[in-house]
Order: sequence, then structure tokens, then C-alpha cells
Amino acid sequence: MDRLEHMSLAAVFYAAIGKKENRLDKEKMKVYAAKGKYDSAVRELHFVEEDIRYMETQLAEIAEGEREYEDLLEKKMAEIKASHLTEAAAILRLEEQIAVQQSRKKEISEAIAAGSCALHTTEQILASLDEAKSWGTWDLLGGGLIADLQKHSHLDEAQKQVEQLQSELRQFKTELADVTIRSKIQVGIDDFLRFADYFFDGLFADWAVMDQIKESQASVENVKSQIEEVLSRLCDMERAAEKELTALEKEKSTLVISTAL
Amino acid sequence: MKYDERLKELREKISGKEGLEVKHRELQAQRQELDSRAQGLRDIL
Repeated sequence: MDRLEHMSLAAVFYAAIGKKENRLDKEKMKVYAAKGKYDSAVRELHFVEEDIRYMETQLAEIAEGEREYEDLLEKKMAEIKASHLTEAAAILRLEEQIAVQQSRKKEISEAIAAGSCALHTTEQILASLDEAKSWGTWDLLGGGLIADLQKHSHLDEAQKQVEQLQSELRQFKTELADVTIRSKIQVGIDDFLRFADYFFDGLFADWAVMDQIKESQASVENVKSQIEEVLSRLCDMERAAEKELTALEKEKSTLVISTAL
Repeated sequence: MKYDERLKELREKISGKEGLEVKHRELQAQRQELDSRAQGLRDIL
């Protein structure tokens, strides 16, 4: 375990296959795949704990704000009653609805931003795997040590990008949590937290490196199309939220104008 | 009116509460899952 701790993916490959052999020992493969998954889980755990602490601070601040809001609202309602303006209470209700709708729209936009980030990273991983595959083909045709080194260097790059993607997918899943609950929509994102597992399984699943690259490409393509599908639904939701917000603001303006008259 | 500006600010802040609570629950579930997964993988290693 300690020896594996600081090994890059290329080093892991070299340790397992040497420079000439293209085959991995099955037992070793299991351990190397587990090492990749373990590193990813520990890193994500650290980020999740940081996010939880941040959320708890935010929630504490909101609780404080709520107390002040209730207090001010009570005072404002007393003023409205004293002014005998029934429209003022309706405007206040509309303002509350607008704030809720704005917050909903903001959450959808945040989810779209998180999803777009993850989508961009999938494209980078696919490019790295493509490069690794090209150098791998060259290597098979007798490209020698340079082709071999290049292939593994691109695999290392892909591994780093997968680690980044795993974090981005987790953030995307978090951002989607409230959006999906409020909209009561179902999106197939349960696998997002385990993406790195599939990637490492793919990378170490077969005996030949070229097949491993293909497997990994397939798992990245799969998660990419899932992200695209969710993003498309989020864009529809964002448009609907915008429409509703415009309607509420229009209603408020009409009421304000008629009250002024 | 007298309290309008502050009320608007507070309303914007408070309106994100429900979303934050859901995200908080989601993160706690993620922590539990990641914790048990890391434990299981450590046993393999």
C-alpha cells in the first residue's frame, strides 16, 4: 500500500508490465485498480467534508437572517395595516414569490455551470485517450521507447483529468440535488459518484493496454452522454423558470402602476 | 417603505435555504458512501 501510494499510472503500468511485456498479472491488476479507486474516494471525501462545513456556515447565517426578516416583516405589516393599502400586501406577496423564483433560477444556472465544466473535462479526457491510443498504435508498429513513453504520459494525463472529472461530477450531483427534488424530475446520475471506479476498472480490466484504453474511452463517452442529457433538461428548466419570473415581475409592475394611479 | 431594502436583501438570502438544506443532506449521503467505499478499498490494499 505505502509503495503504491505515490505511483503514477504510468509507473503502475511499468511496474506491472515491464517494458516488453504487454500483459498484467490479474491479481496485480485488481490491486492497482483498487489503488486508483481508493485515492479517488479519499480525495473526494476530503472535498465533501469541506463542502459540508461551508454549507453549515451558510445555514447558520440564513437562520440568523430569518430571525431578522420575521422581525422586520412584522413591523412592515403593521405599517401596511396602518396605511390601509391592500395592494401593498399583494405586492409584498409577489416580491416573496419573485425571490423564490430567482433563487430557483440561480440554482438551475449553477447546476448548468457545474455540468458544463464536467462536460468540458470529458472532452479533454477523450482527447488524451485518443493521443494514448495513437501512440499505442505507433508503439505496436515498432515505435520504440519514445512511443511507449508518450502513450503512458497521455494515460497519466487522462488519469489526472479523471480525478478532476470525479470532483466535478460530484459537484454536479450536489447542485442537481435540490433542482431535481423541487422539480420532481428523475435524472440518471447515481453512477456519477462511482465514475472513477468504472474508469479504473476499464483501464485495468483487460490484458492488453490498447483494449484498456478502448474500455476507458467507452466509460467516458457514456458519462459524457449522460451529462449532455441532463444539461439539455436543465436548459429547458432554466427557460421555464425565466418565463415564470418574467410573468411575476410583470404582474408586480402592473399592480404597482395601478396602485400609484 | 422604511424596511423595503433590508427586507429585499434578507429575502434573497433566505430564499436559498431550502436548496442549501437539500444540498447539505446530499453531501452527508455522499460522505457516508465515500467513507464506506474508502474503508472497503483500504481493506483490499
